[in-house]
Amino acid sequence: MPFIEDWITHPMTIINRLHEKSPSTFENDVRNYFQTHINNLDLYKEIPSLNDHDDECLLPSGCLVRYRAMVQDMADDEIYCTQYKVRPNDHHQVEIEKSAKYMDLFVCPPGYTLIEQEPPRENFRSRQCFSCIPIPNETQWVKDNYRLHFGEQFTMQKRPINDQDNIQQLLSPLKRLKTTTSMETNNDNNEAIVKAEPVKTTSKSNYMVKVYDTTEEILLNTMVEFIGIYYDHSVIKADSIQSVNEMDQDQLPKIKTIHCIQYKKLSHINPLLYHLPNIEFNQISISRQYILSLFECIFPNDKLLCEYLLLHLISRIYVRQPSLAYGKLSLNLSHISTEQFNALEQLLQTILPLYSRISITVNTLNTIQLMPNKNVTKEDDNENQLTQTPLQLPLNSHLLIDETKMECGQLTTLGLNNIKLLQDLLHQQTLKYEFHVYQLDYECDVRCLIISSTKSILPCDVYIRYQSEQEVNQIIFPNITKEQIDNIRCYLTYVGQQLEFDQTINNVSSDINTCIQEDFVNMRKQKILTNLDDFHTLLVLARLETLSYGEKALTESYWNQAKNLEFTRRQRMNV
Amino acid sequence: MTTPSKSNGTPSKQRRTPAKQTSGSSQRTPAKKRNPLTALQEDEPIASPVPSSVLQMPFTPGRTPNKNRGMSFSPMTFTTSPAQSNICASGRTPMSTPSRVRSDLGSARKLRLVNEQEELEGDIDVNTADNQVVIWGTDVHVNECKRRFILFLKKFYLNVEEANLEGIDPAKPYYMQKLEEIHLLERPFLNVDCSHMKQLDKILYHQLLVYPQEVIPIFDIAVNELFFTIYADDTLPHQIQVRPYNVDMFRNMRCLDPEDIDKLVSLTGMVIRSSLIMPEMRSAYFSCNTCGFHVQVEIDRGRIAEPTVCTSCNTAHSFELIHNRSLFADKQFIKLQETPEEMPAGQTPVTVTVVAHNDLVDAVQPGDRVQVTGIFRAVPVRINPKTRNVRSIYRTFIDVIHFRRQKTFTAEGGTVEQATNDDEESTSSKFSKERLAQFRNLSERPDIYELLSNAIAPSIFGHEDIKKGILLQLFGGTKKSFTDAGRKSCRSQINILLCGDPGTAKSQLQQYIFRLVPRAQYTNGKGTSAVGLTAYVTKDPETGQLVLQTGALVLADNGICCIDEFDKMSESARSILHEVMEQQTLSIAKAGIICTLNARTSVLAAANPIESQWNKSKTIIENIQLPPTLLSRFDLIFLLLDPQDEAYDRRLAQHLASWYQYGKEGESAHEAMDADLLRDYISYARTFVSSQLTEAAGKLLISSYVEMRKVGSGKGQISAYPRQLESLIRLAEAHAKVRLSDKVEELDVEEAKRLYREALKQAVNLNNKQEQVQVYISTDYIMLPMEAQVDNIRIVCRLANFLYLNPYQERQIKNLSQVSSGKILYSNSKSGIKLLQEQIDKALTIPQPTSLNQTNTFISAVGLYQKFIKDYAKIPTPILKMANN
Repeated sequence: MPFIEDWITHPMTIINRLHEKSPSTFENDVRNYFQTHINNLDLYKEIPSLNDHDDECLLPSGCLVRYRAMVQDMADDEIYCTQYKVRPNDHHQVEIEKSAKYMDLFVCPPGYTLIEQEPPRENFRSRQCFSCIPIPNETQWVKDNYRLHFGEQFTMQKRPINDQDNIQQLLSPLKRLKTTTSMETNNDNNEAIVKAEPVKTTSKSNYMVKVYDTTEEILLNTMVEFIGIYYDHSVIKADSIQSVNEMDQDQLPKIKTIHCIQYKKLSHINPLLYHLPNIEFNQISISRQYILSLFECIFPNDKLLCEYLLLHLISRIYVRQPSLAYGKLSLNLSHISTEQFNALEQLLQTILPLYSRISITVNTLNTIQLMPNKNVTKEDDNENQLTQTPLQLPLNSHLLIDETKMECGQLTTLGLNNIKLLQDLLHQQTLKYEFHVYQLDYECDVRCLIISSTKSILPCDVYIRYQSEQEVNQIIFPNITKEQIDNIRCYLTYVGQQLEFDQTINNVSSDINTCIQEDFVNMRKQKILTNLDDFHTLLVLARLETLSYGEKALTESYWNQAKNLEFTRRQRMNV
Repeated sequence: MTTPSKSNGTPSKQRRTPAKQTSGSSQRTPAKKRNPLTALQEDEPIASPVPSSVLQMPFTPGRTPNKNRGMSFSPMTFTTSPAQSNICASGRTPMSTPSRVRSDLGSARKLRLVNEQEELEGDIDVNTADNQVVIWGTDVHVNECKRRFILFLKKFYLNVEEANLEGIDPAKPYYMQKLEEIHLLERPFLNVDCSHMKQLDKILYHQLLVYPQEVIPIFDIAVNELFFTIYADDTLPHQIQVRPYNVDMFRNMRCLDPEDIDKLVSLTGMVIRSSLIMPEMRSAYFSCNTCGFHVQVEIDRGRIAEPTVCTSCNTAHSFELIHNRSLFADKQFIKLQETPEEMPAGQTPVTVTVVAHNDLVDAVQPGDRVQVTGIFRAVPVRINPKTRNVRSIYRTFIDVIHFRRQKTFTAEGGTVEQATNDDEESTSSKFSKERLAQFRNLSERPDIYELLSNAIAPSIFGHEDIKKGILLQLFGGTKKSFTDAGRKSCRSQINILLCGDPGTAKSQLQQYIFRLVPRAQYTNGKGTSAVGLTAYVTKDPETGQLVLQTGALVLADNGICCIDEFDKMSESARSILHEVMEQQTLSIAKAGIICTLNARTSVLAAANPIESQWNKSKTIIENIQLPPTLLSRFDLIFLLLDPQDEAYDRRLAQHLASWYQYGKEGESAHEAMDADLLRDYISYARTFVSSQLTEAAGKLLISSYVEMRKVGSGKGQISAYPRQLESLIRLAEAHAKVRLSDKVEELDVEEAKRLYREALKQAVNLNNKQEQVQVYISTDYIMLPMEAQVDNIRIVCRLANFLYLNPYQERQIKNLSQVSSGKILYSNSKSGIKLLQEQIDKALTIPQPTSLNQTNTFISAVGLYQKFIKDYAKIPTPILKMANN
């Protein structure tokens, strides 16, 4: 057996060895070999993670890597030949057949020459190519935790995150940032964020991942962890119209390649839940209280808003219908101060694994293209990438739309399209992608929270105005330990997952069913529920309410709770 | 007899065999002739796709195993044998018809049958060779193949139905007619539908699929032989080329895999980019600087080998390329992208590079939807000379043999022409045979009408009649032209207005239609300006030219324009609709541009009542507040009211709640047609079915129209305009179309009448089901029909009480108050004039009349209201009549 080092730094030698041993079973052997290694957590940690190597990689070409990524674009399938031959230079020995899997360039050992020939048709295989980017808008704590739990032991520069014991400290880096910026005018601050955003989301290093023998479909925007062989030569594309010779090698963008040996789709990226399939029941209600208490710090005296905020954070689509999506709960908050806004933003970044924000003003709407698009008219094929926009997000992301800076003004066509795009996102949870000759709708699941000064121009499921007697100037979070914060993080991810995975969950028993029907009929009689959409919202609320307590089945009390919630809100809105 | 050993002594053409040899195999046996016995044996496993038996043949020394790929054998190789003469049969080809290179079959390799023929002309000795030539590496038996193909051409007949579609004579062999066409038009391309071949000769078809590169040249030869035996004196621009298409192996682009390399594939896609036309050198002309000797070098696997030594004067490196005398072929790279329909959800579209040659260059433009038939190829990515790296990746592309531009399938069939490289395709090709059969089966079902209407927006509960109405709108009436009679054309589009309470799924219905119909536009009346609907002129910022930009209505030409919030539309925008909804055109007169655009649009409008909630005590006109001129342009006006009915609510709640449960598709999971089938069915019907009125149906229409008129004219008013008659006709036609029937029969008219009535009834379904008042809303008065029940009067009273007072002209009310000021009938306050509650109560408690006397009292009691109701006199007429009788 090779040494541990060996299989990480030179996986190809192992693959070659396996191929030499028995070419017929070689594919299985490779899979089994790496499977056993990867399943061992200690060995798994040894694999360098590309996510931790931010700066231009120091990794040697041909080594094994881990890569936590989102499929940002899909390239065409590629046909490659599985075998090639080398002949020793002295012409005496027989030709050696080598496997060409997991590589782009044939490697010729010293003392051998490559036999150039056209391979027989049976030797052709195809592999899928994905253009991947590190998961956009991963919050810092996720990164830190990944590093902490799965980081490579030998290269890791441990971050002292352990001594951040409570939320004050967890928030402190952001706090500091905020205090410094608040000295300047707020406008500048926000402008800066707006400008920085698109750059930040798109410029991240991306990789071309080539996947062999996929059994299940990998969809656009799925989060996947790839384990594969990393090559530092830039992508070699086969489909360019111009022959490769004509292209200047230097001008090619430096997209590196990973030949995937194994991959795993990630349904969430919360590192804390990596090993835990579920959390204890009593933990759920405690965490629920903690979250609410945190929210109440930001929004004192407004339990209603906090409750809605919580339900919003765990909402998730579970049934889709043409032009309808059930389970989403987009929220629109208004009349909150800048202080509160900032605090909320920090809090969300601390407890959510995926968090992003866009700020919409007339100006930004008119200038930024929000629709992901592929410009195929360019002659250069390497430019034919899907351009990522702030709206191309993995499933279950959280998107905060900041509308507070909106002012009067005229929208251009681009601005109108952007508004339309956002409307569709909020209304149907679909996002249009532009593919030059046509546009396609892609399903997405993004929890949208709109912060606006008054009611938003975008359609939202629920609109709440913050109501308080006094101005909130100073926001002090209570002392909550790191452990509890972790619990909250687990709670949010876990509960959110339940909605999607647990099929039994809303077996609305017949009792509650009739009860709901009765209520519906009564409400209609009393004319308090005229719109069917309102009824939809009510049902979603009831379900989320049930879930937030960790319960599986909707009961009458939760139904009533949801009803109360909704009617209190409506009362407030009517005032 | 040629024996395998002959390979060493192949004639001088040996140097032109594909020079791809690795050092080990400089000599190859490109073709072989076997004795008839072995050849026959070889022919046995005809369907074996991998010609492994040939591969292992012992008499091919020095051949490396990788040579067994069909594509590595240029068919020209068999031309080196004497059998060549037999294949080319150039003796029958008049020299006046030049041959022409097919670069589509082998862009990178030599496949120059025709060239061979030219060179071999001298030593042609027809029919000396035996007939057992098999292309090496395949199971294709040359002469057998030729014979079969000719047989196919001679024997294939279309069935009557298809022949009618194509407009040709079913009694004659189809392809012989095509040859005649070539003879007449002098367009030397024969398009062969592979599905035809499959019907007749599966083996040949299979060979074509697997070895297109070898088989198509044989087809070429065969068809030329056949053609020139029939039309011996013809001169064509060049020899006929066979272009197979519609291969069964219809591929989704995504499914192309290494299995398909070098096979014939068909796929559909959208052209997203086409490159410039590139001249590809086909043969280079070199001349020697020293002695002027010239030599022509053919392209060989994408390369021209420059001769180093002049054979005439033995000078080294003296050759110079003469561009003018070299031959070039056109070549174009086209990029195809997957069509949206074929895409699996959640993936990005894939692309395929396609290479077009010669005539096919520029046959398609970016944006076209095309069906491509061609040979799938993979060539290694060329090695960069600078680096020593060799890549394992292969570049894949398709050499096009046949393009077919697909019809942009719009509602009005036939209006958009379908261009192919051969201008002869029929529109039916959009649908496969299976689909057509499916349509036929469907259309014969008795419940097709219900089936289809249920398929519309299945998630929306109830509203069956509205869905039926919308279904008919989707099908549309028959397009009629009265150009002879001086009128342009009669509108075939059906316009529908949905009016009702908020939250009654109006917008959802519209959204559904918007998604279903290919050319639909969705606009919101609130945010729509007149120009946004129609068209506007802008100045191009760069050129300063005036540009006409079209709005929603024009964009939805031949489609459906959904207008939400119709009531909130500005007056000016609405007035635009007058022209569009009846004349189906749009006239623009603006800064320098005066034109009339087509806007053959069906309008599906949705409006809220003026008080946002339907006021039960008002008429539809008062509730909608749309001008009657516009209202009359709607064929059907549906009212979506909240029924305020407990049982209904309960069912609705159940329906909605069921969506919130996993897995369950709602309790009303009726057999829902999938949207694709529905869409196809509709477009098929719209394109191919045009229903005509039968005589019986016409009579029924006339009689019902007369009846409608009579009802009105009895009261001295016209209740039905010719417009309503046209509406009825359209609806009946559409209903016939649903059955894919060419004839509009009585039952269609009945349904049209029913729907028309139903829509109206719903429109005035004021209180509850038993008390329905039928109202013709052609003008703004209420009229009771002859058969109205006595107790309907009560409703009229109620109407009188609550609603008819207010809008009645104030002046008249003042007059009234003067007249009857003595009786305290009403109180005059600032808010308006109101009947006293007691009076109302009294009127409502009048007992149901059971006898003639009572009826008379009833009438007199009710007579109180005549002062307040416009045209009151007409309302109790039926009762009066009854009383008088």
